[in-house]
Amino acid sequence: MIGVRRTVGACVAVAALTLSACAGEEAGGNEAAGTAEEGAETPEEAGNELDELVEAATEEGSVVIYATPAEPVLAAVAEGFEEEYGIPVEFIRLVGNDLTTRLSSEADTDSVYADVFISGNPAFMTDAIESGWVRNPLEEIPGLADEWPSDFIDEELNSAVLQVDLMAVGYHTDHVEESELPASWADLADDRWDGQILAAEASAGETMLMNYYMLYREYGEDFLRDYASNIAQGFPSMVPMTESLNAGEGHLAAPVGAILPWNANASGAPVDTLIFDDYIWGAEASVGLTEGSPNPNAGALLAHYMYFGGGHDILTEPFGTTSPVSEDFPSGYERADFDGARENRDLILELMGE
Amino acid sequence: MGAVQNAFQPKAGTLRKRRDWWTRSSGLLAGLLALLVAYPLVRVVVRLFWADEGPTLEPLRATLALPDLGLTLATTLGVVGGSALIGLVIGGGFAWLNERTDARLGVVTDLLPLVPFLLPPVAGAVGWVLLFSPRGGVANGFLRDFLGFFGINLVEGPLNAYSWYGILLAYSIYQVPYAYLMISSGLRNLDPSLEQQARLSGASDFTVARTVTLPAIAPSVGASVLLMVWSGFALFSLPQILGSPTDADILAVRIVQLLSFSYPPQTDAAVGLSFIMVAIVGGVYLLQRRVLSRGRHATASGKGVRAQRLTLSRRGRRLARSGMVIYLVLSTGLPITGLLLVSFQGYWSPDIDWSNMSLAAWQSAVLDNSATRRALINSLQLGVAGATLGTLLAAIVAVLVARRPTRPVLLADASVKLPSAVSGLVLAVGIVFAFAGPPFRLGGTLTILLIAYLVLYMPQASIAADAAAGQIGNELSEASAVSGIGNGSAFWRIYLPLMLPGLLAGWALLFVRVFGDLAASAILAGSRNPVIGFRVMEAFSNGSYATLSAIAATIVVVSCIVVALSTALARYVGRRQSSTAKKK
Repeated sequence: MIGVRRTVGACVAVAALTLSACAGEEAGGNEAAGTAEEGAETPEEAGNELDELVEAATEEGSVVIYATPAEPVLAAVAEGFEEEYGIPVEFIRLVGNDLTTRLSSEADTDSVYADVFISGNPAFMTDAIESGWVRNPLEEIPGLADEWPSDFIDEELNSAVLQVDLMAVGYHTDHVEESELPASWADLADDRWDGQILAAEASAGETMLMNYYMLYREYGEDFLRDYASNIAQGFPSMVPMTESLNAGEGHLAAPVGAILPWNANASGAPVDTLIFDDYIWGAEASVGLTEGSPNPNAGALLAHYMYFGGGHDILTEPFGTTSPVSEDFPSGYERADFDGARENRDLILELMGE
Repeated sequence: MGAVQNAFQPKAGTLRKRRDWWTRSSGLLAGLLALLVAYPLVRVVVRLFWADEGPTLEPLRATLALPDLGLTLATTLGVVGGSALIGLVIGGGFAWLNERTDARLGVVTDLLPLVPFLLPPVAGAVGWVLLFSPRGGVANGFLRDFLGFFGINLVEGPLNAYSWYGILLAYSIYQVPYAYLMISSGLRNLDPSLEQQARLSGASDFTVARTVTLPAIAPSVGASVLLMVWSGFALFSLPQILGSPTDADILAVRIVQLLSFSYPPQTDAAVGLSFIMVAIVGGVYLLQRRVLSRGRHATASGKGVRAQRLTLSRRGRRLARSGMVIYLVLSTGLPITGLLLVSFQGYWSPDIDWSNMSLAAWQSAVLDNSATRRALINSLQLGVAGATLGTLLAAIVAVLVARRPTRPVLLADASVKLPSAVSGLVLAVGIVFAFAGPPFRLGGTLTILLIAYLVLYMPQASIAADAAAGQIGNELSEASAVSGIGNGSAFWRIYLPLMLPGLLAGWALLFVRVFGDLAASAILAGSRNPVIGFRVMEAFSNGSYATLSAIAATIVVVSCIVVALSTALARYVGRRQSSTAKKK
């Protein structure tokens, strides 16, 4: 029986990474996933390419990023990048459709402001590629195509997954004893949770729809229907859901980004986080480079810093946040299936009672 | 002799036309303003009816085919109409108590109905949730403890913010300020001789109120209804937060979902839904114009005389004042208290841990947060600039409409009011299309935010200015024309001073709306041009209630100070006008 992991201290070993001396501290490719292919550039070539990129970026002198991670995280990335390369970073935190609307509006009106962005919306990336709004980071970020785990490279979307926010279950420690904790996602359909689960609405956004689709895909229609019937209250996003869990409006909040109940716990709220390692997925974010950006080389360099430099460690430091090349990346991880979610949207909404 | 006489005898029923520079300039200004407002809207509308291949009705068909559209419309109309009625009764009642009785508590009473506006609706809704969530609500916890003393043991409740009555009451709180501002301004500027004559004829106070006062302030009532309908339709965060568990499907929430919760954003359907709003709000607007055009309402005369105030009994006065204070406490004090508790505790819990109180959330969200401080300063600057510019421009257009209601002028006036019927998010997208890129390249600047705020909130400034201008009698402008005063001088020396109390009330309303704006800020603000509303939305979507509460409480404090100053100024101006007229 697969045990339940309650902290991120439990590590799942991934394949050893190959470090490139020229680029300093870098994360290399995952041998288990398969990376180095014939004809791939050598470390020396990659190093030269990086040096040229640094030179060009320094000449540009600044860089702007639109990104989804929390502000303190972005501030730390900006500070680290400027310390390493002397190039100041302006960051704008945008999430969900705010990000995609701004990027598409700016591209449409020929007023591109961001040089690089972090997004977790594959539908937007498809649109962006077709519309010519983005460049191909696999071609422009040194080493990305060759050293990043191939399972997390999507050539159709010209993207490589940088960061994963693992999905988890939050629970109220005053209402749920340790012995009562669910052992897996499947347990959430149990009658004992009737009226005790808080959940974000499936219609609240692409990520929520994807989450419920992932559950449906693994556990079936009956599970999703039973789970939905246990939901006490729906919310427009995960933050009000987690806040309601803090106040004891329900006993469980699921699915939820692992960091949310963990942050609440750190503030003193009586909640904790449960991550099931028998079936695990997350919200995936990739880096994009804008076409027509004011500082294309600085943008590519910042992207490289986030994939291979100090930025990677900063971005994956928060609880429940990991990356395909992190040591604690779960071995049984399932890729987020946005396509499947969109194709089954009506069914998912029906099963969720929306 | 005959020629001289003819020169000074204008045609019966009309003023002698003088096309001076002021008329031309203000006409041009009105036209430019209308263009500024209409251009982004046109860009959005074009997308609705014109595709690459040519004209199309497909987006409109897609809009009409949206599921449960009829139910959504019916629900929205019910909530907006019901809350407007409640708002009219409460706001009108407060206005009457303040302006026609001796129950006033000075400036404190004046601020009472305005205070809800000082709290952005998203923060207000969260505040109600913090207090009256069935299980986790702090106030519900106290109520359950209280009922427990009487042997009534409840597991949840007794009140529920996530209910139909909860939504209706929350909406009403945000409607009351519109009714209060417009009606109290109308009462203040009303010629009291009509009421005095009615009393002298033997009419009771109630009869006077019903047959003289109410019909006389019809423009103000009409303006308040229009503002409440506009405001009610535009409210989004409140029904989004409170409405989900009740399945209350509100039009504004549907529009935002189409724009924000799916990719690609269904802009065409969102614009289509907004045009349904146009039809409804436009109908109310036409009704208001009809009421104003009948002319059967009182106007401010050349004499400044104070209205006779009804002297209540001591008990009546105490009841009236207590009622107003209790309303303030319940409507705004409670949610602010809920927000403050959470901001100091660091998280939401029905059990308050006094020993755990700290300024940690305040420090991280406001005091030590340079982005928030910068956003506050920007919002303050934009609030003052936007409110001043908007009010002045609205006053110019309103006077033009009152004095020279030609077709172009009426068209400009309608253009200025048109955005009231369109979702703020849709307009913000239109502004990006219109001004962010070439040739203007205003993306990421405070200027584009100012333009957005003028576009979004000019309608309410215009309505307030219309009501103020509508109460300036024609005899004053006729007298100024006969005296040889130009139109420009007439505006600055006659109209503007007389309209000032009403305009200041409108200024206060405009300021709080611009200062706490969320709709335009979500699309147009960023790290180059941060504003405080954007940070509130960010805290709600991706932060915590403690962070949101700290920022929201800061907005309340700043807004309170500014509104108190403008209200005091309005009162001072009104008193000076009365005393100056008395001396003469």
